Amino acid sequence: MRAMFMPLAAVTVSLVGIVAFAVPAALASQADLYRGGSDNGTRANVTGSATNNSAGLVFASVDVQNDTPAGSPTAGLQVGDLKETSGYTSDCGTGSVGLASERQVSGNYTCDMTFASFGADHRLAVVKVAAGWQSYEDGVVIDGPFSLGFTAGYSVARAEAYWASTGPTYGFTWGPSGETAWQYTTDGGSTYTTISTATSGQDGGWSIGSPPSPFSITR
Amino acid sequence: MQHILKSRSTVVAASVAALVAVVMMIEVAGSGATKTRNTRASDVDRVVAQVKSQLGDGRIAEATVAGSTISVTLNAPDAPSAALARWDGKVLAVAVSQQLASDGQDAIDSATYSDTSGTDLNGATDAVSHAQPVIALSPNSCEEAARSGASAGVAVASARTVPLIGGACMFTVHVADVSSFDANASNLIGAIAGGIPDVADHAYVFDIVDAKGATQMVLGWIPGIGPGSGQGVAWLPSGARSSAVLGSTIGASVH
Repeated sequence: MRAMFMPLAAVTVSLVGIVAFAVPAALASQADLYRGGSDNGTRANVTGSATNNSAGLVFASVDVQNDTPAGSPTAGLQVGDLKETSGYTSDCGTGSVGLASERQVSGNYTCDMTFASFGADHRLAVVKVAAGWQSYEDGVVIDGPFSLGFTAGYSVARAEAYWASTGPTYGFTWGPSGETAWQYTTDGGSTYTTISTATSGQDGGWSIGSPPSPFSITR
Repeated sequence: MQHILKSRSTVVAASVAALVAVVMMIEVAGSGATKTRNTRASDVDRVVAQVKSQLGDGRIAEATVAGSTISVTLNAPDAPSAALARWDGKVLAVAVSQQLASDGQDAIDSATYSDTSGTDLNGATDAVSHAQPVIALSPNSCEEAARSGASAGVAVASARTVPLIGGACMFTVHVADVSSFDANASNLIGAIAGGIPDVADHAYVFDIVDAKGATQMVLGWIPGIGPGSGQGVAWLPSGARSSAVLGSTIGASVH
């Protein structure tokens, strides 16, 4: 890596070396409901609204990962509603708004952004089928198939937020009444079971409802 | 014609010998099919050579176009190099796709990336767009964006505006305290990336290095890759977390 850095520096514009950080530290927070260990898919209608009250992002997703949120997951796939403020950068881009399908494999993160209205009511799913892990919106594949190095794990309903100064206003519902509840599958999406119990966790500041759907996560 | 093109792989190693051979084939070949095939090969060769030269980091080894798929081989001796190389490969895929479409040839629509031992570096085949760039960056756009980031206190060691796929930005940022930077990376990197005109329409990559010159984070974006508006890529060392990597905080402080 150092060998690559030297020639790069030789041909680029050298800029000032400022060491102090003037921008306030970003705050990160998430709230999760999770279950399973042998799930190879999860889905729910997800809808809601959220406002970034300072530079930051808000995210509402369904996810399957190879360890619990309290553990040390190294692989996973999640799809959800993302809204970033302009000038706020993540692995899903800068100022991105839409559906984000993010996969993780051993420290490598890849995020495919799809145009969508933030918070609009759609059935979101991640499922491992024969070809690999895929993300879905309303039953249509929007991303994948991916080889993620695991075949089953934990279903997660996740609220996530980052902010620079003032935290967001956030209210999302997983499985609104009369629509697809938060569910899991262990047979690659052939059959689904509504999740009635799950473990919750959060960094603080969130109000987390209880499954079965409909339940909301707010702050 | 289409069948002929799809049935033959075109190896593009970008060597002088290969280029000469292609030119000779065009001159001696009598059929239109051969001419078209070799024009396509020549176009691909030219773009690969151009991208390798412009990026200048030696991470692209070669590329092979077969039908509508480009397979990129990357020099990736370690994980951070692989992450940076993956961004290079995606930029190359878009550049080739755009050039072929611009020349009226069948565009490529998918891309794969592997290291020189054949190991897949992406975990999937990428969808590739051939849409032409909407607005090209001016020659110093990325350097100016870096200066705007400097006002936010980011130590940008280098910034380059690369004239590929409508303009791409390559940044190297030195950090003294990696964990502090990681925690605030979304804002700090955003202070630079947000200064790139029409940022969502332009590729960029940040190589975040520590005081020893070792990469501690890679964060990039490539429009024209993926099923929608573009694709972001990131890499973090094992156990590291960053506000700039969605999901990397999983497990942090959850109780």
